[in-house]
Amino acid sequence: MAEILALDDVQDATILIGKILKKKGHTVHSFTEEDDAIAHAKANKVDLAILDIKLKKMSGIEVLSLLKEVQPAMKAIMLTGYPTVETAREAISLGADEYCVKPIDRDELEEKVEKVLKSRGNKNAMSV
Amino acid sequence: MDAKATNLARAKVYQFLSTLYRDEIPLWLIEKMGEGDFLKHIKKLQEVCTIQDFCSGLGRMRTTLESGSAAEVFNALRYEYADLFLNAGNNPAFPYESCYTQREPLVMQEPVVAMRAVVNKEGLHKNPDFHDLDDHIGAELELMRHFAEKAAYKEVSQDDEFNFLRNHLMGWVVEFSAVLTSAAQTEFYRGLAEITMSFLFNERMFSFASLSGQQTDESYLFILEQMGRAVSVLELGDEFATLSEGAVAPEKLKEVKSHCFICLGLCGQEIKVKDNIITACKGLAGDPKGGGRLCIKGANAHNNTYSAYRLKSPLIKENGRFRKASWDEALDLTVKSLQKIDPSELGFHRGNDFNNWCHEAVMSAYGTPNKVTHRQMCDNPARMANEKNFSEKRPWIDYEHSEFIMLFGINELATSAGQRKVSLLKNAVKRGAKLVVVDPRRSETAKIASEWIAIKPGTDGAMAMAMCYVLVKEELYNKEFVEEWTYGFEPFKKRLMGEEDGITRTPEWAAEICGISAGTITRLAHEFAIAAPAVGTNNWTGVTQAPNTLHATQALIAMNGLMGTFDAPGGPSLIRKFKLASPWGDDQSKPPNNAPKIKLDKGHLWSGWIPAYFEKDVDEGKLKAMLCYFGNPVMSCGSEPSIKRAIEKLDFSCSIDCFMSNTTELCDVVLPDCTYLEQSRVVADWMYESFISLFQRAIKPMYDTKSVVSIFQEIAKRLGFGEYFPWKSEDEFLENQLRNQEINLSELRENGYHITDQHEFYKYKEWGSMNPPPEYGSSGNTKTGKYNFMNPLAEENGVDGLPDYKDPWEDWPDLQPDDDHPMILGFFRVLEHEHTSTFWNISLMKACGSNPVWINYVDAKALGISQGDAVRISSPWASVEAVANVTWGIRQGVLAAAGGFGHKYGLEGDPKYPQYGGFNTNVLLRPNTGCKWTATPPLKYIKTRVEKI
Repeated sequence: MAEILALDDVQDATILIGKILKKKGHTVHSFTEEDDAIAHAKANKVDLAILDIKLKKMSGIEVLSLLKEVQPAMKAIMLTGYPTVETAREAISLGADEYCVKPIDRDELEEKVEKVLKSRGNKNAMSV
Repeated sequence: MDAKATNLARAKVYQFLSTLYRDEIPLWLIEKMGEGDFLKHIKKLQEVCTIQDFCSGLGRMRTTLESGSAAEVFNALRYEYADLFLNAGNNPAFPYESCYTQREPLVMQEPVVAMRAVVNKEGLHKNPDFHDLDDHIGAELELMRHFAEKAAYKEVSQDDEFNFLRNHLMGWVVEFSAVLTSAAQTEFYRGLAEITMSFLFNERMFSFASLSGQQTDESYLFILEQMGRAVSVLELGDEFATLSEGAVAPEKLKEVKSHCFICLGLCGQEIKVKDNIITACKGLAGDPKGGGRLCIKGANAHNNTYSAYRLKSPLIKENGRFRKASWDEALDLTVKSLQKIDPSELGFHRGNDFNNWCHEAVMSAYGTPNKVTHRQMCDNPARMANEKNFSEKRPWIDYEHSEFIMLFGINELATSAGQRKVSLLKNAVKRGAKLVVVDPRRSETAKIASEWIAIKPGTDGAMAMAMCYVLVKEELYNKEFVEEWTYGFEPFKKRLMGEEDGITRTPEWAAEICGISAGTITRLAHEFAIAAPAVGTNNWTGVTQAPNTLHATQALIAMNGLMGTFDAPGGPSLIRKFKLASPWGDDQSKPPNNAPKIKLDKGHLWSGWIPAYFEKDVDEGKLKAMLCYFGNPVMSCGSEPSIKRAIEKLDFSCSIDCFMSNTTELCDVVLPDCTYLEQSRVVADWMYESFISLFQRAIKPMYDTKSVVSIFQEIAKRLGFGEYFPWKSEDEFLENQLRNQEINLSELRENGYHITDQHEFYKYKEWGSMNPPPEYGSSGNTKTGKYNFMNPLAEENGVDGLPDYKDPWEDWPDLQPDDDHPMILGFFRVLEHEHTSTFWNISLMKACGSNPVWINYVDAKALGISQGDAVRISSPWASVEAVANVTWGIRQGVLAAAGGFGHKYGLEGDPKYPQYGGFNTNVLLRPNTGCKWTATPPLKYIKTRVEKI
């Protein structure tokens, strides 16, 4: 089972993610503050990060970039309420494996998490 | 709006988007989109639209539509369409779900299977008139239209519809839209990307609301209503363009027995095909070439076919940009252009020999004498030596029985013609046979060798002459064979002994030239003699791509002649191939050969069109047009800048290829060939045994591509020679070719190959000649029936025909290294690639995606260069940048990098994949330069200097 980091500025969202994924046997570390999430990743193994794009101080894209520096093999799913092509471009270029759109759909989240964790390597980097 | 109206409006929007993606946008549609009614609805929508990307997308689309007349917009968009979706540009937006599951440019992956299952369940199948793929964005959007219309009219559950929306479309459209936005040059396609992504996200919300019985967001309903009205104005029609009625059951798994055509190895392949999708390529058990094995290229051959960079449709260049064309338009333009010039002003360049009997015949009927293959830039020195001195260009050694093997410039492990031979070589080494590899670079083969002889580039002839000197001087040679089966021994002996010019070819003489000690040369000659006749020496492009190596090849093959090892167990084999019958049936007329017997360029021995002199020939008015089939002369036939200039100066050029390349991009017309897995041929082949091998079409031609025979049949028809190229199917010419064999086409299909003659030794004794009997073919012919130390063609022409060493710069003094450019650069081949033809294959690029330049540790230290440093390599003619690979595995004073790199298209040229890329060593070549004996450009003898950047 995987070590999952969930970061969203809305606590309810992280709670929901935690509920869904803990039932699947994963360990979920939920954060609403960017610094706390980054500190956790520096000290602990993270298999998968689920990051909201819109955060308090930084964007999820910036956090993804910092997390990838400390955990290059970590996989990532970006979460957004309203994605734009621009944020999608940034996320893909930084190596996000999947995009997940709010409101979170249980089946969709479970499926994407399993898919990302099962894949042997990260999706190929693509610069767009 | 009620549910029905809502679903119909949704269907309209899906239909609109599908129409814009599935093909270039027709003029009539652009006219309608630019007219008042459509724009009126769009403007109204924009005024109140609160969905950011949707609004912005509409605005961008309008910007283009209002930027000029309908005809101007149409042209701008069709150029853009060709770049984005037909791979005419280097940054395509692949419109297939398969390309986004792993973000790899690979089509026909799992999403196609899933899409077919959904379509089948809906009682539909892909419209056969839609030449694109099942998981194309246009097809998936059209399926959504089908779902929405079904919901509107039949009020069925929308579970399947929303499942498809969320698990297919939404799974990749985000990335596709991001790629399209990034790659598009026009506001129209950027806007289309924004509208698509935004619409589908709102559709997702719509699906949640529908499933939970909640009200749909009012603002979204308003958008649907307005967009539905706007699209209605366009009168797009009721029919589906990408889908057809009626479920079609998937085809069962089949195994197609065929052969690989990625390199010249031609190993047997068993191709697994399920529902017209190739799922794997495996080795064909028992096949004489592969022995059931495939290299990485053969195992991933289908990923060439499934590369997302494939050309899909004919292209015509206008105003410097490509646009889609119909086959008729492109072929008509090509043939009219050929008819405008004298046929002797056309150069026909072909890079492979797939069914070459057909295109050669078409070009001969047209009347061009200027037909070339890659031969000159490859191993022409060896061929011109061996094909005249005995009967075959490449006398592969019978490794199974060898005791001593000496390879000059052949990296068998990476470049072998056949995986069985590689296996036999490895086994020979394992059982204790001695392998000596003579190469400036420690190649993969040198790594398993008993000895790596790091010779100076271009000096193999000196070493071989000295070994011959030892064999003759010490009378170690096989006197009986020399007396009975050779020609020209006495003059050869005189040269070795210095009786001809006062220079005795001793090991001491050679050591000064080639940098290998006299003791080593003498010892190797002794070992060679002691192990005879189970010995063989051979060479390939490591020798032949330096200038003046015709005589060097003669020298090193002469060792086999001196020891009488031809066709001995463990020696170099004499080849015989049981000839195929003509593709023309007994009742079919053969085309005329209208080509005059004139030679465009002339050398000491080789005459004809010499592509290394391409620019000079164009400047002198000798060439005005080029037809190129599966070739990349810009990257391979000489100085890249010079050959590029040559093609740019031509009146007309046409390329028949599967991919856009550094050559194809320069052409006026591009005709998309299909890959070998989509077409068929039969060949007479040889690997110790003589056999017939079948290349069996595994899948139908993809997209709007054609087989090479079909393309040349069309060209012939337009040239007025159609009656001579009458075959109605591949089977017809295959059956004709097999009519003299003991098996028919159906039987050959079962096995994939048929052995006509088993491996035999000393065949020439039975034949009474070194030439095979008339019913057999080989690539050469010895006039004397014996092995010739004296090359008969050279003797006939009154030029030097004896083995020897000649300075590489003898005819081109400025090729000699000097203080400014002291190092010699060349390229080497790698197992993962075949010349320039595999750089669109993601599997091979992942295995080898760049080409650092090898530099000796001592040289690097002196120049302050460390591993991974960026360096500049300069010749007197050009400079390139590269990354240094500092190693002990290359001789001091020599630089080398893997060949084939430096593409402007495919994975190297695509900005989405910056991790791939390298440089072409040929950029550094002297323009308009070829060996005066054999026309081979000095690809492995470029004087350079290297410096840290």
